[in-house]
Amino acid sequence: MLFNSFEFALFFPAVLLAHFGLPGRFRWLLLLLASCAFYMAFVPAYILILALTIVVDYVAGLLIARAQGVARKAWLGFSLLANIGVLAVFKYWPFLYANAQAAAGYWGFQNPVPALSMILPIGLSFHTFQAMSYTIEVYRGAQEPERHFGRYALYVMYFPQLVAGPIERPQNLLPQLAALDNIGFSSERMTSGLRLIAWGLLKKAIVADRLAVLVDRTYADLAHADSVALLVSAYAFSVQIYCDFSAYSDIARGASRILGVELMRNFERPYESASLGEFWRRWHISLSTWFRDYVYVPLGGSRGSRARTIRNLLIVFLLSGLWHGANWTFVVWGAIHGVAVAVSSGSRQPRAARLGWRTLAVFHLVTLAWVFFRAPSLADATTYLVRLFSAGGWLTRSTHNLGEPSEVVLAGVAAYAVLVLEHLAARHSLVDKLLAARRSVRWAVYYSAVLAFLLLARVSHQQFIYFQF
Amino acid sequence: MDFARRFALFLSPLLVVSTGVELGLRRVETMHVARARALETPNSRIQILVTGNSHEAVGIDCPSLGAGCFNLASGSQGLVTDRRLVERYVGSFPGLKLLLIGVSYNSIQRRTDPEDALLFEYNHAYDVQEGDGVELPWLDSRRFSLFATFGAQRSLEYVFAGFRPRTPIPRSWERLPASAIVSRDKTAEGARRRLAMHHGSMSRDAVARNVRALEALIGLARARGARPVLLVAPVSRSYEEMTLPANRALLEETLASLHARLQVDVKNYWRDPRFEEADFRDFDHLGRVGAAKLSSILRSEVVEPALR
Repeated sequence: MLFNSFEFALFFPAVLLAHFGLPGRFRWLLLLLASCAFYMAFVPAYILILALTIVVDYVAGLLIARAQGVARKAWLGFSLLANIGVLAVFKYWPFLYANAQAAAGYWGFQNPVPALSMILPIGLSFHTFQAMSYTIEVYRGAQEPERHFGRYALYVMYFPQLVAGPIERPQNLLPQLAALDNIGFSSERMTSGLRLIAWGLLKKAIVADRLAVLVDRTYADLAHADSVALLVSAYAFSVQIYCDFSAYSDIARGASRILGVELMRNFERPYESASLGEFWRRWHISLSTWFRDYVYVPLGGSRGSRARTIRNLLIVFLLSGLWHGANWTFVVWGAIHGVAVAVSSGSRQPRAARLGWRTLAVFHLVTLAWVFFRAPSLADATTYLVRLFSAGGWLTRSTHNLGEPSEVVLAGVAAYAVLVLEHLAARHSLVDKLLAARRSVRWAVYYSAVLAFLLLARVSHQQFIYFQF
Repeated sequence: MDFARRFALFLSPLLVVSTGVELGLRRVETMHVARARALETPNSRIQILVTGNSHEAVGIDCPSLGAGCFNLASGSQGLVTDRRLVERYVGSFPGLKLLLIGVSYNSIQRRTDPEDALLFEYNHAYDVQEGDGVELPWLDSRRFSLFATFGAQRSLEYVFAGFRPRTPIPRSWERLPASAIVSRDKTAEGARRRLAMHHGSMSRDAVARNVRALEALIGLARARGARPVLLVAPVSRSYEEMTLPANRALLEETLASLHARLQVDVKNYWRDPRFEEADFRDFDHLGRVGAAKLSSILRSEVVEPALR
């Protein structure tokens, strides 16, 4: 079930009515059932995979808390192995098979990896990482094991963030789920949540889905795209992926806020970063901090020599690339970021919150790296980059079909408006000013948003990009 | 309660306006709505029914066929939709003698996207659903809202036109005005783009489904005592040269197989030397002169023998 679908527009109000209509003690059950329905709207059978990891991690959490010494470590290892095993089978097996097949063909041996044909369960990497975060925190003693099985299952399955994050930590989510019994309806939470949902929908339906048409068209016909089209598409994808993913996070946070659960912020205007390190503190924050806390710091972080720091950074970014997808394109994307962050890690960090040439340079580096993220294969990414600098079309009208010129202009204006509005909202506390304004002004703004959505939104069932991960 | 009251107050103008627009859009006589009404009316004069996509919609000129004819073809209409329309409306034509089934380069492999807005428009106008593995999502706003089906731009055009059609509705259903469907782009880039669009909608996985639709169309015609004929309209030499040999071979094999299995007539004008570049409006659509030429050829080679 997509957030930008008619189904969700019916589903969420129904859940909300039941949530505040039911006695508090049943809320966890209602949200758990709603989460099951939400997940099963994609591929019903895959809920069994979730059930398996939930049972394994729930039991592991209890056993880790009870055990001492090696046994404690062994139960953590068991839990991690189970989660990584699920990822390996469902996400990385086809990649492993294809590479083994290529190697077997090259060196002339029998491929030892059997072929398995499976659809990647939606949001697998997100809920697996959230589940792993629970057992690791219990192992570290930073989190009490959750004894209420239903509440633990809800921690993994909580529908607003189930399929594309934010990847929550147990310390933030579990206490809030436990306190659901006593939460009452709040009109402030409701309006604030609705504002977030509306902003997310505007970003997704007006900007991301419009830019998607342009970008998809270019990637579908790389061999004929000229440099102008490739350049426009590269910028377009940068904005598309931001508006798509941050829209999902906004809607998730808004929906959850209305239900009484505050989710972590996942984006902080990342394209205003003055360094790549800063970019990663502002982009997909829940994943960056996950890798920082559970991989980078345990590897030694920046505590050792510079060579060791660089090694740790490269490991983290290569893993982050692989987390996104089982394809060499994601590995290269991670490597580009890893090398760039490692190179810049020794230099003096610029003052934050200043837009200037550094911001522009970071944006362009990130945009260039997105080519590997978006391209279906390394060969396509190479074609893209080669043609970007060699296919010409700079001084002539772009002959490649980017789409209707009015659509391209509209998408560009909308994209620019979103980035500027987010910048101004943060700099000048626009939301606070809106809340302090007269009702007629507030309603005029809200009606304008509804009108903009009705007139400019693309009616499509374009999935959120990060669902595939 | 205060919040609920304010929220209801906020929503009420939106509900009033959107209900008004929806009701207005339901009154609009689109090309499909008008054609559906024409199809509902029994017409014993009609002896020939033409199905297919834009190639047949603008490429067959019914008056030149020399018998009562209804052109049921339309832009981007797939074989499965042809099947559904014929199933739904064949009863309106008791005098039917000939079913001309248009098959194009991209028809046999044409994939159907269940998200295609056109399917929702057909569902609204003709009350048909593709089926055969392509079901419209039951909880999709376009099943309930014409504003969502048409999109904001087209809906607003209707609103500002007082809910009247944007373009004149054809007075007869013998040939659609080409300007409604086809551009005049005759550049090489235009041909490449057009072919890229066709290739983008083609997949070998779709062949079985489209062949089933063809078999059903042949069966429907025969059950009514009409003669089915598979027709491949001509395309320009430039377009033909850019098509892929494997796709052309698949089309020809499929037609040959249907001919052998079901003894159905196949009229293939794909590379007919009688058609010149000047006969085409763009690369794969005949212009008015070309349509008259194809129709008079069909009259002598297909219609007259069938109606004799």
